[in-house]
Amino acid sequence: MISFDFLYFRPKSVHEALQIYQDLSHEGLQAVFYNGGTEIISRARAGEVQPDAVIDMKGIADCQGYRDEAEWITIGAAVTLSNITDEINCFPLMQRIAKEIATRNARNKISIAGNVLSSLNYREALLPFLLTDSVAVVAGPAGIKEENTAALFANGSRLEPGKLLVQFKTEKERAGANYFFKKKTKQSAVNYPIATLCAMKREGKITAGFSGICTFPFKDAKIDRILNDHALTISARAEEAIAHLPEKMVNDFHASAGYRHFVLEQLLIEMLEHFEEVS
Amino acid sequence: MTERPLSVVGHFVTRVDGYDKAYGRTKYTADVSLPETLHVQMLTSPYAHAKINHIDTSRIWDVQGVRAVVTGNDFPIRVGPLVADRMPLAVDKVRYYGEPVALVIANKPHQAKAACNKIKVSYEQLPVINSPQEAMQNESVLIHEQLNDYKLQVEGICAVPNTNIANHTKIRKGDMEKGWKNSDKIVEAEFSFSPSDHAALETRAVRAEILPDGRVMIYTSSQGPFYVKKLLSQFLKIDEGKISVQTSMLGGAFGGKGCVQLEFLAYLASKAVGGKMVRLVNSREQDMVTSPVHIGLHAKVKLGADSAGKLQAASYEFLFDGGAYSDMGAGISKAGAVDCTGPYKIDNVHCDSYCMYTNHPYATSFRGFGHPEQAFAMERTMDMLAKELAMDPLELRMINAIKPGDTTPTQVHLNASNLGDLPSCLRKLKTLTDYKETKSKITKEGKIRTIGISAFWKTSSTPPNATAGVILTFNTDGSINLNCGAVELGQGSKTVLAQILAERLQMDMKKINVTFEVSTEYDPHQWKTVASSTTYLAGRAVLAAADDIIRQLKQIGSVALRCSPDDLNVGQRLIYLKDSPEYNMKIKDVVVAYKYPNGNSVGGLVIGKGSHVVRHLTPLDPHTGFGKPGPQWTVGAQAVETEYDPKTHAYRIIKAATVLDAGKVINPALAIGQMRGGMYLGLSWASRESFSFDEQAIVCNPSFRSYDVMRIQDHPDYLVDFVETPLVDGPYGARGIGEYGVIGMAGALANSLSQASSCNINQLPIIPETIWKLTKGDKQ
Amino acid sequence: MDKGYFNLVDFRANGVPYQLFVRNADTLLHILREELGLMSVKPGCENGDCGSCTVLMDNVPVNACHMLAVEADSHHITTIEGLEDTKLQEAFIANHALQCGYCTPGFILNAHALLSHHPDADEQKINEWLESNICRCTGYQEIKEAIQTVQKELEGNG
Repeated sequence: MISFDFLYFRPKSVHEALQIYQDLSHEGLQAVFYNGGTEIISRARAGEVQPDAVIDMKGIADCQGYRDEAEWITIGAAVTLSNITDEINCFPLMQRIAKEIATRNARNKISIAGNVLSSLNYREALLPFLLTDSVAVVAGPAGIKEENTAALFANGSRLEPGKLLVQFKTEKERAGANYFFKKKTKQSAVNYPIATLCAMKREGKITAGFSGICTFPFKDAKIDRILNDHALTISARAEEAIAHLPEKMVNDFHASAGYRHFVLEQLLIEMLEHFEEVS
Repeated sequence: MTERPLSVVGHFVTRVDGYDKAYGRTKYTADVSLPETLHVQMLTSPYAHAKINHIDTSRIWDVQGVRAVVTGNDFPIRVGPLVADRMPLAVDKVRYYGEPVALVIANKPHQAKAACNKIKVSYEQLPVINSPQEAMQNESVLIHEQLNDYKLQVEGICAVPNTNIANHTKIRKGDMEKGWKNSDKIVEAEFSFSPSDHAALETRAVRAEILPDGRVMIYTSSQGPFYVKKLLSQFLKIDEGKISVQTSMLGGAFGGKGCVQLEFLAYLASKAVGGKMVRLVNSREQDMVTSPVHIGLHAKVKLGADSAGKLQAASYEFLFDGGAYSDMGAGISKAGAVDCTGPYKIDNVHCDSYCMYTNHPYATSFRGFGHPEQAFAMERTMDMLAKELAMDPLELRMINAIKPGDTTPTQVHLNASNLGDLPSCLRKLKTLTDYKETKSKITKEGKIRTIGISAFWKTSSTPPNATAGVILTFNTDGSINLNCGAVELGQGSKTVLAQILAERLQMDMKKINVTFEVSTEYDPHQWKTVASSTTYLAGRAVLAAADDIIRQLKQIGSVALRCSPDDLNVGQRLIYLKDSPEYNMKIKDVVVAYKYPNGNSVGGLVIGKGSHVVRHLTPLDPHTGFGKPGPQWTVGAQAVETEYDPKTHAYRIIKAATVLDAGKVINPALAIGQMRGGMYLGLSWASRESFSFDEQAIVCNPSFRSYDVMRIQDHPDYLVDFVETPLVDGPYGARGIGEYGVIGMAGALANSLSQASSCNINQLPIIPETIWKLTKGDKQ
Repeated sequence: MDKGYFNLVDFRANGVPYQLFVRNADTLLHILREELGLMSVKPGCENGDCGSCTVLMDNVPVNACHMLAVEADSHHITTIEGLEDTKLQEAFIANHALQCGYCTPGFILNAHALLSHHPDADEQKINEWLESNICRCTGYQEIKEAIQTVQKELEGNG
């Protein structure tokens, strides 16, 4: 139960959504963009956030559905994770990752944007977009811009207040690339990842994405270079990659940093062996 | 006299509450929503141990709809079932994270919650006791400074002033020195696990109202409505007859709804608004930490055996993590002690069992009441001993199995009735699980398959005067209404009691209407619905009431049929002559008085009554533990098969098996369901359920988001079988079975994985990280 | 711009049209129970974790606790009170797939949606959908068996 009141808007267009946001801002009211909304409901119930207004994006056509065109796949920010698993067959890594987040019931409601912009560490749905160098379409007061996903979300950053995620655009050829994915939890499959590793191999090069081991999901050029350094043995590559994580491993009640290290090392080795076998 | 074959008892019968539940029609406590009800929200402590300097409630009135606020000083009386040590709302200090500090009553739930957020409490943090070992060692931090002044509610509780000991139970049996001397092999080990939760899906809920004439009406999700009445009467100083407690069906309980907590708060809230109806429903987070939890334990076990494997001596130290208040924890530590050896003959036994105060959420009964906890420690040690003796673990249990003629740790003499048949259970388990002595098998993928076993026993720690009663009334069509104080919490008691009645009256189940709700106003007194005691206690009461009906029917029948009552039988909804059944009359024609053809009537209403009380139980001797703690010991054996990946330390639970001596299985489908559900709860607990505490004793995972439980893809194949050694005074020979499926699971799981991983897994929960830490040993 | 903290929602619950003025911050769970009296929708965690409050929105299972009532506007909501096909209920009774009954409506609704989308769901698919729902009394095996019984029945009829 949410103890405080908020205003609710359901705009029909991106432009209208931004206008509502600005109008509220001018009145000193804080609004949040709301897609699946599950995290907002949870956090509002827990008293962790108290927005004055929510702007529901589900009525905006641009944020809904996906388009499978000649070279590009466009996925609306409000598309649910279940829609992705069930329908977006040309992006198998995205499907796979989506299927392992929360539970099916929850995924029927959680949107891509909700997961990517989550306040938690994990945000696994970002990984496929990072690995495919996807474009994030972001709307803000200055208009609609296409931005590089990796740059936009570097080091755990999220969107500036007042900006809204409209869709992701992914090159089809990249989306279909050979992939590796594994999520490790404390015990039950339904839980947050203590380590998620996904990777794609394209044109002979591996690129890897991580979630659960640091406070944000990431891919890292330095780590990718290490993983592709065939002068090193597989286990040396794994060890070296871990030595170059962007921050120290998370140490919390889900798993100790030491155990995360153990799990990640195994995952990296498994991934490298997988691609070696495939090629 | 030849016995009639049973036609209902022992047969598959559909649950009497099945339709209501499958169609979503069952009403649980919070499903009743009456207009004009006011809503209560709790403000709880963000700290595990802190002084309360000041509570400022002035800002709550800014919120629309607020009606009243209650804080600890409004009722500074200590309550509790065994030791009265807990103020319903904290006064002066808080002792655990989540402890209730204030209540706000408002028109709408969200208003009450908004107002709670406006209360300013000024706390001063105190050092915390974060484990039962710390509680024992660190005497500079006392959780209850005034323990000496607390009122003990029952005989046999030994709280130790100026310590953190809420109860100390001693067992001294035989001659320890001799026992160790006769032991060729001795093993010693330590065990531990943190508190966890019952996590029943229905969170605890209560409504309360105080009527103008002073009657107190309580509607609560409780396993003990009569117990609620008793404690409210005692601590609120209201006559019991002025308190009415009503309980509808429970959405799971597992022992957690036997405590009396929210009822006090709801009463205080109603009182604060002039007696109006108020409603208080736990959020999941509150249900997990504010309301009582499943107890934690730190244990030391030492076992000695001769070279043939015969147990010679056993010593135990149990430090139960009872949390901030003793509630039933003080009884659990005793229950663990009285059955400390498990179902084995051991002549020399030494046990010190303590319920320790810590700054954790406080513990209450959990399915198995001290036994899943004790059994984990004991059954692991048995396997360690088997290894030491180079003996098969099942064989070690077989040769030490307790038998008629032996005595329990508290020196109760066991016989063929009050003790089940463990050797038969073990033999059946062997067949059921295809148990071979060559234990581990390596799969093609390099995973290791192993089977771990355990044996268990349990007596129900009932008070020496635990009772149940039954009242039977008739409808004019001859169908019968069964009224009893047993609460239906999913275990199927209402169905089993109806079966016992149908059997005794030789009546169709369809002609028996069971009242699902329990009301202390019109149901006969029943102690509580706990301790696997309902089939026995209420079952015996059903038989007594049925016999009372039969006697009355024969009496009236003898007048109408012109014969002696002894010439008559009752069955198939008829009263008939034994030797000439064609001389008969319909039961429906006599239950509201028999009418002669000329219109005269005799007999009046037929109303059956029956009750039962446990017999011959005695308190324990404080120095030796000598005494009789319970009526009988149900025994059983269990196995768990796992597939362990030595590379990742992850594992899958493939099979789980239980063979239980049920005395007599009244309803096979329900009994199997109880065993499967018990195994699930035990496995889920042992493999993942646990509260994580930070350094300040704050619970990090008080929600299903991060409190891991088994889900549908995690279930093993369940195998269940029964042995039937009748309990002479049980209904149709039945023993209690409700809790038992859970007891040996942690031990069996840990035994299987200990074999597979070649390390001693002596802590719970067994998550891959637990095994990883053990296997890497000294490497780090 | 509507600045009120309430909105009018227009939706169908079990086929019945409703127009309600609801508080924006109220969940669908709250409205179904407290306004419509559909008490089969059970709160278990109010955090989207346990599946007890599963309802079908346009035949898709969702946690009613994780949805604002205003989001239900122009949708069809089904609770177990509105489930006309009773095969699953009967199978749950016959297979002893319920004990306390609290999780049962959620499980049955989810299973109903599963079978209508995937009548031939294999065990993996059943797990994928029903891992959304927690049961604390049975061993889950009975629940799976109940669903599989209905699948066999449907096959037989097909």
